[in-house]
Amino acid sequence: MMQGVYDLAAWLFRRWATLRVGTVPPYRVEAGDFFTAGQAAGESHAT
Amino acid sequence: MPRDARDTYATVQKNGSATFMARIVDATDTPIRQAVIDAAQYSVYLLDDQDPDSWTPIAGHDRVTVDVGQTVFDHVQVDPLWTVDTGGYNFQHELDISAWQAFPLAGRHYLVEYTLTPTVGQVIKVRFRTYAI
Repeated sequence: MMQGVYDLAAWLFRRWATLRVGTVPPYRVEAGDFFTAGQAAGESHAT
Repeated sequence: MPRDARDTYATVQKNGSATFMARIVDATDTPIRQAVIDAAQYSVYLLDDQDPDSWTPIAGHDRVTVDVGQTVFDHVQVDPLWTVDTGGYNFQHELDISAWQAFPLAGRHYLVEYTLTPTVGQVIKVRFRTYAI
């Protein structure tokens, strides 16, 4: 009984360790954008 | 299909601030959620046009911790701030320049780099190259 628990714990740890080192495919930035205060009022008139 | 790494380019005002946004997805093109990110920080670097490897950290904006709960959204935001496409964004951060200027020199390029550490997997780099006017 206890051996089964230990085996399960060991399997879970190995599984966690495998994931932790990065077997998950990488995330990525699909698109980026920005906003500055200067964009809010950009207009000029020649006189 | 291969996907090259790329930066987002922005023009900012000297001694001004900016709000940076991005849509970050996983390998299945599903937008990430807050629970995916364990920690986040950002740095602003002054770049040297003659040396692409020369990154000089800007005082007060070097490895600054970012509140994940206020920066990464569980649902994609679609509003007028986002102008790139109709897909919206799930990452947004406004540079706080109340104590330290982020872009102190006009006519220079800066790199704003966010580093998001997921609970599992490799770090996510979200980068913006800015030119100060």
